[in-house]
Amino acid sequence: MIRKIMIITLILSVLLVTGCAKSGTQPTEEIQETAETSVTDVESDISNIDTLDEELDLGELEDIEEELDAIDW
Amino acid sequence: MRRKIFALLILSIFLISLIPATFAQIVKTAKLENINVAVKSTETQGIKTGLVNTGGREIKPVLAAERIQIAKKAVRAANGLEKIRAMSTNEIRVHQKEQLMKAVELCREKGLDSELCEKKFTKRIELITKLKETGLERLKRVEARKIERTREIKELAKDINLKKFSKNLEFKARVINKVKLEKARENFQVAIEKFQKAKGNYQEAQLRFKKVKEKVAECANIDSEECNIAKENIRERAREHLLHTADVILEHLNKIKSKVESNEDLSEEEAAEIIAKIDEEIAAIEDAKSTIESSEDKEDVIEAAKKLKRTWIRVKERAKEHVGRIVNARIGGIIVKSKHLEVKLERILTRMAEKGLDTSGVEPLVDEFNAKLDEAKTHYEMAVEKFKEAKAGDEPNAEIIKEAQSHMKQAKEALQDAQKILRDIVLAIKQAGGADELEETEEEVEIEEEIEESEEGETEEAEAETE
Repeated sequence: MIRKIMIITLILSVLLVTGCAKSGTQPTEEIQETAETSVTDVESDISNIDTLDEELDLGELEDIEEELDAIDW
Repeated sequence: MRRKIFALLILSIFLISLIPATFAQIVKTAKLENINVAVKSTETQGIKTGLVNTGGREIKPVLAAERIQIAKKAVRAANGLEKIRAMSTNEIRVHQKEQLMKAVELCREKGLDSELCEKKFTKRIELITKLKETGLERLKRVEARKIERTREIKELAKDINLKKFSKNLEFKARVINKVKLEKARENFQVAIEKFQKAKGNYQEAQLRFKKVKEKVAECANIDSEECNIAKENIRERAREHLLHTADVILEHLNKIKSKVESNEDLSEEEAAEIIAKIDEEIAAIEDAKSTIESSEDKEDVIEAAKKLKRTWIRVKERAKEHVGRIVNARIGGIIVKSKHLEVKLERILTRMAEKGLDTSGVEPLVDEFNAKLDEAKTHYEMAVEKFKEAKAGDEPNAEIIKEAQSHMKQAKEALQDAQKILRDIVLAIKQAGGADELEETEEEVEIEEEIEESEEGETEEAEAETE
């Protein structure tokens, strides 16, 4: 019986230690954004303006007017 | 008996676990009280020379308490910026320490992790204590810069064209529900694929029509079976070409529409307004498409082609306007985000100055960055005005849209220049030994922002009282 109590106590101690360890590290995981990441974020936003521009560019439809004029035979 | 032993064991484990937590709290309180004593000693007793014990550290107050109080009264009437500029080096030391003390208290109130918040601010207080005259002068200068930038941010919140990009919404004009956003993004990808497919069909139909047209031209005076087939086919090939042309336009409009649906830089009203216009344009192209489908002879087909051309000329300019507004809205959001980053950079300079690091190589680069952002802002706002003018007319005005696009291009170029300067700033900060300052966490930022805001509020109250 004493052995059982000792095992349970050991398990409880391990749980206590691991529980405390977790509560200490959690905020570190949450706080990741720094000034440097903000800089990278803005840099990437600026680079993406061109992508947005290209995605919606009407350049590929430039020849339509000419083509419509050519509908005659 | 055994049950009792078991219960006692659990209870003892629980009690033992409380000891480290309580001990940590006592240490925190003791440290904070020590620092509080240091700041108060400088401020109220102040005085002459003599060393004040601050828990192992020593500070050397230079000015008398009376002088500080008189100076404080005088500067309270002035605004925050003048207040900083009017301060002596010792006053800036006291002021900065007070700010950081508030930060330490806020860290504790918010129950933030001591290692990540409280200890960092406490360390900064210690650093300020050690600062010499030149270091304090630098600190005063960068603190004034920070206040200036913070004020610019406040101005942005009142700017009619930029206030929609709120920091609370992560610099977006609206927040689309996650599921809806995911769906809208998928739709945009589908629209891109459909447009590519329509474009392929359009090019093939164009080629087929050209070939038949050439054949018909060759067959002008020839009466052969091959020529007769070509003459019979040409009307159908022309119709097919026209229908694929209409489809490629429709798919392009659908592409813009899906982009608007998934765009968070446009407000709900702006997005709804653009979508309504695109729907009208889609209806006009569908109408032209019906005319093509119902065309029976050569004259009908040529007339249908003319109708599609007339519709396209109008739709094309409107599409340019929509695309311009989407891209310009993105630029606006980036400008506001970058202005907030600028304040972060100023905070880095403050922390570097607190450490006694030389910030003279970084300051002009931050000024250049600021100038480029202002340039981008000016062109962004001019583009907004031109787009407003363009959408106000019943018919699209190609000239106004062109002007709007030109301003938008200049705003984009200014941002791209700012991006290059930003890289230099990061490099210069690291070279000056401020790499750790770049690692400022969001929690620290929030605490500092809160204090800056409360300080600004106090200044405004003081101004009101003076009036």
